[in-house]
Amino acid sequence: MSDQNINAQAQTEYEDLNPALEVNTDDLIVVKEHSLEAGEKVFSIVLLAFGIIALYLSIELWFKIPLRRGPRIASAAAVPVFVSGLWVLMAAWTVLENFKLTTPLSNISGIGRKIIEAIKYALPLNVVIMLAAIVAYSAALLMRVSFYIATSVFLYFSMCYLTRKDFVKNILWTAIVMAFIVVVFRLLFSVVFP
Amino acid sequence: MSALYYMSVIFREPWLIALVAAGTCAGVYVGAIPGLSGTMAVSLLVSFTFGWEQHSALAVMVGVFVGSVFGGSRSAILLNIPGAPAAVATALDGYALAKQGRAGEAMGLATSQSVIGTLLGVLALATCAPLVAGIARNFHSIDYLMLSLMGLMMVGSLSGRSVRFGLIAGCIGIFLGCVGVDGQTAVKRFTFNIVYLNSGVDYVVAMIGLFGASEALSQITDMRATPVKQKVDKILPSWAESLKYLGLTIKSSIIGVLVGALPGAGGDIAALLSYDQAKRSVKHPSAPFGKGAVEGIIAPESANNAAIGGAFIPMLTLGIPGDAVTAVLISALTIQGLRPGPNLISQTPDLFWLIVACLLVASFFLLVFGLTGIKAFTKIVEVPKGILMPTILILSVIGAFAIRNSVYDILWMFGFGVIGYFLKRYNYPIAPIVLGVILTRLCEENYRRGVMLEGGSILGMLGSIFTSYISIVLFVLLVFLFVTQTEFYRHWKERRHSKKSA
Repeated sequence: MSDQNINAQAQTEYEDLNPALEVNTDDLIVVKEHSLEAGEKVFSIVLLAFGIIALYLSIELWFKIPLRRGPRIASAAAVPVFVSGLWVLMAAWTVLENFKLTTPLSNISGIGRKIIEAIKYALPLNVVIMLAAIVAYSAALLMRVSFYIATSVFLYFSMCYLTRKDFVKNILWTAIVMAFIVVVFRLLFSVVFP
Repeated sequence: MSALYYMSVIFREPWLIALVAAGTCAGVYVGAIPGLSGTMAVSLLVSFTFGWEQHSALAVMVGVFVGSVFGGSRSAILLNIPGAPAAVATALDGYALAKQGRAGEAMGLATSQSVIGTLLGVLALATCAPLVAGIARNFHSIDYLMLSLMGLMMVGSLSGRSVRFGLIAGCIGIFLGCVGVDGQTAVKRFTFNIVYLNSGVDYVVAMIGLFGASEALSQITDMRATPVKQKVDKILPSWAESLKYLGLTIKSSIIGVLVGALPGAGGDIAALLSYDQAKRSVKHPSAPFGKGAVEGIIAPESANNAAIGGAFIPMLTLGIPGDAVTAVLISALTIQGLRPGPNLISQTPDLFWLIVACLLVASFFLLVFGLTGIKAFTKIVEVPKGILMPTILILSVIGAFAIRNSVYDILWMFGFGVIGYFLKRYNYPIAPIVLGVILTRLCEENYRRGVMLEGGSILGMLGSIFTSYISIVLFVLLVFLFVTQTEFYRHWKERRHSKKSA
């Protein structure tokens, strides 16, 4: 083959190749290493357990309702039995599917470490602290502590904890939020506070 | 000609325009606050306007009604807390747009679509009231059941990664909707002898907890993310954009009018159904649904406002309320010495056309008040997370307490917030739970009534589908919706698509 023909063939072959396209990064798909999140297998089992409890309660209601009230298929227990049954079915299917899949904990040895990592994912420290604050705030409202005091303390504590700075500025933010709540809800719309 | 004369009354008595404006403005802000509803506001107005002249009382109540239906979208878009159940579908894409810095655009779109939907609803009320009333009158229990099942089919659309997860969430929602004293037989279901649970789980409490509190808890897991700067240069959609989506708007508004005209089914069901139909019918959305598709705002917002006109149809033609607000309006009319019913239009045509005129004027003011303050409202989303999230939690507390003035509602709200947080953490959808709670009553009551009417036979109930044209149409739609959600259909569509492109 002459040099010219070789060059022409090479040129043709080059043109046949798709040139590398510029990839738009917006279209990149993030591929997760694991299909499930840490602790998801346990969570699906928890959902299944609640479904079984719901189904048990529904079936108990089904047999409690006397037949003289009408056919059971149209009774107060019919829909709960159906939906809790479907819930159990879907949750069981999910548990079985999840057996085949991996989580970030799959490579960790030791059940203790797995539990700790799963809890760290499900309940990060921020969430734990905020849940504790919510529990304390709810307890204060139940004990009839003044809504204004309980809310101001909750707001200030939460803002300081979440921002970890501007402790003096957060007093101003708390005051602004409280003022907004009082003016808009109490004065304008006459909403009753706890 | 007499219709135009009666409608012109509002322009000859300018204080009526002022009252409509005041009502619309108040309604927008009442609707924006979770826990406060248009029903509540109109109920308060019934006593407030007791000694007023008939036209004045109606003008302000109609204004509040229109404003409050739209107002729910504000907090839905900005904070992912729907102000009303009718805004649940709007939150799905509206909040996603806010996270992309397009909250202003989302609110402008919600405003314009709400106005168009209201106008189309009013047009249906003015021109087709007797026809739509005739269709609504022929709805039987089986038809309501199929309508609620169509709403529940949305579970598939809202399921995210798998229909299975949506079904689990939907079943949880329906089960929670069954808690309380059964309305038909007074049997206590899952109350564990707790008096508070006798009245059941309030779906607004569930909505505030699942959307508001759980979102706040989810957001604080990662405090590194900085607030998104909102673009407010583009608020109102252009004429070209509005025309582009006109078909979807009209379709959604028709759904809104028809569903709104059904007694017991209001803007919330209309919005959910139209969102679902948009998701199925729009081939090339501006973004995937649930990730900021503008179609995901257009459909529910035009439907829930069109449902206003639809709700007035059975109220004014049959004396049957289309939804909770029109039920309150019927009592208001009764107090004023009127009898809503088949003879209302013939005996008091001035009232019918005054309501039409008030709705038209309210649409105009909706545009004004809906667009004002958008730039200020979008600043809310730019507040640092550490300040905003505790504020959202407190607003959720106030909203939950405002429903029944019960501290236990606050505890339930936080409980739903925790449930929603864990579900979100493991990528389960939460919207189907709210859907289930909202639709349980409509679905269960009509299922049981339908079976009882056929002597306790489910087959008899299913057979009754083929005795009415409306039932047959709904059944065909239901089967179609179900089949299109199955894996089999998706594979078939993919094979067909690949054959076409080959």
